[in-house]
Amino acid sequence: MASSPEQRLTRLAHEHSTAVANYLRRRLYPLSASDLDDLVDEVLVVCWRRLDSIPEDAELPWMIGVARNVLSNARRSQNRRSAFVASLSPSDDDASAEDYVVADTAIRDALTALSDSDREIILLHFWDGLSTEQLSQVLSITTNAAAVRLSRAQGRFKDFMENAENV
Amino acid sequence: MSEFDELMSARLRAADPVVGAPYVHANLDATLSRITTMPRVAKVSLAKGFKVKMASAAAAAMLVTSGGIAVLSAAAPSVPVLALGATTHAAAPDTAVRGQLPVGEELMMPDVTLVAGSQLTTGTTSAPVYEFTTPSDLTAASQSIASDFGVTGDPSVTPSTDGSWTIGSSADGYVDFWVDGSLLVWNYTEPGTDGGVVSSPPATNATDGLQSTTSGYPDDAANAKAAQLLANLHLTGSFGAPSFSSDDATPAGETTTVQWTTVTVPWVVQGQDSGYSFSFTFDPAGTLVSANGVAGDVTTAGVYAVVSEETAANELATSFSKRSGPVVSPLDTTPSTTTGTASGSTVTPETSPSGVTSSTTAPSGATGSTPSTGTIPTTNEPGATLPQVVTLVSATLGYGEYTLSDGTSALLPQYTFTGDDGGTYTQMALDPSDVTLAPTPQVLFSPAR
Repeated sequence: MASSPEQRLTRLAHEHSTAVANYLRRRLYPLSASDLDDLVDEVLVVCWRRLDSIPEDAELPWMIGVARNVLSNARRSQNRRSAFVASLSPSDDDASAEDYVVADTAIRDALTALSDSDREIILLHFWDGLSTEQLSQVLSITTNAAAVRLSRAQGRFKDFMENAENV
Repeated sequence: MSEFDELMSARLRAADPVVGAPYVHANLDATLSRITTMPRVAKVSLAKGFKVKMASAAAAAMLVTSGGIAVLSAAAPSVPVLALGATTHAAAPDTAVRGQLPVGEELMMPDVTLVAGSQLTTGTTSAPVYEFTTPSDLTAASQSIASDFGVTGDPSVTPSTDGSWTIGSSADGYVDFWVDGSLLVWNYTEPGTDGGVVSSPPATNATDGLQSTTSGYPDDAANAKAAQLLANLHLTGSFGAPSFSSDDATPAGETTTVQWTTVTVPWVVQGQDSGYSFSFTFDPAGTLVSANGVAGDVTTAGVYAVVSEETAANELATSFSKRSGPVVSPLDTTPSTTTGTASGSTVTPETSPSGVTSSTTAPSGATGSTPSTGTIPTTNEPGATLPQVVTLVSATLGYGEYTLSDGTSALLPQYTFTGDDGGTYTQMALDPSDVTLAPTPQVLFSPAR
């Protein structure tokens, strides 16, 4: 029996809100619990509004995609302000979420050395646990392209790791 | 390459900052009850639904960025009261908070207390406010921008995303659009690429087959081409000094790494950095690979009273203290000033009266306590806090981009304070009688990138 919109949203929230929250926590740090809830709420609001557009066979990637947009909005706002502030006070441009939370120096350095797109696909795969097919859905690219991007990113990550540990 | 070293995979997964720190929404059922009272967007066909999509995109942008309610002052100002939404100030103290998340420990804000220093002035002034406006005809504006990049066609809804649309195709080049605040944001990708990366597998091994690097397109030439493209956008205002960067890339189907040149040009409005910029990336031959920027107009909303440095600092200090709380245990942090004792019991209020949130950034060169390479890092002991008093010792009046409660965005006067910890903190500088910040915070911060 088909579920009502309310039932579907409730199911989506209970099944995937943790994954969505973790996606956001890994990329916004530090983040208070209430602020994290607010961001998850933003994702759920979009889910509700676009409920009919969420593919039943790709609900999690779709929600991660929304979270990615929410994150982009947050970062664009922050980047704009950061750029303004940076004009007045130099800041550490290399700082990233990984800098704060990754204790393994080599891992952190390798992640930092990667391009944004390489780092994103690495983290989506190894931290968020997305498969190649899910990566393609989140990134709006073909599965083949996702596999190639992931493979290349892994290669570059490994190179950075090996170079760092051979120094 | 076909395999990824198992130890490396294990170390990477072990470095996941949320491992062992389960997330539980504080009030999910109540949230769902609230959300399900909101209107939903009916699914529409691409052929006839584009205008509906446009409207929903704008509505979604407003939904994300708004939430505030303007409160009119008793004494009516000479200019309209600004309805400032629950946007945030991006305070960025140079306080290090490093460490993996302890098991069961919530992510909370650092326990920092801000104090207005005696050096801050008490004089008031006034300054204009600038509002950004969305192009009145998004379809026409989108098609005009797309045509600047040689892309034509009708807009279509972008799959797997919300609130964006596309003109063009991967084969012919395409431009993505969405509304951010009150400006139309665009992102161009050249034909044959997939978001600026390879779209098809190369003929040889993806990694081992890479041969050499081709030098990038000269900065001056890139800047000249960017200037031509910018002139086509017919924006109000001017452009600031360009900055340049380069990045290695591997074109689709090739095994040679080339260097892309990116020129970034800030948008200056009335002599103020708008916070928006334009970016153009060229391959070594000078072909435009990707570009992004905004479209819209800017108008003067009026001249508003600006509070003193001291008043703004006190407001910032008050709102900042309401956001403080225990922090995760740092691996190695030495605050410039410490007071009190670690309690680990501070309660973060559910809402901030000013809607102000803050973030922390690690100081340059911070190293922390790190395990030797080749080992899987361990989790730190939870419970430590980092109480710290920071005195705001100087201020500079400038502008910051804020989102209003009606979804539009504006450049508002903003103080940037420097603390005695070397960090910088921002605070909107309008007179409180002209604007009331909404009580619901919007999280719009992240570590500086």
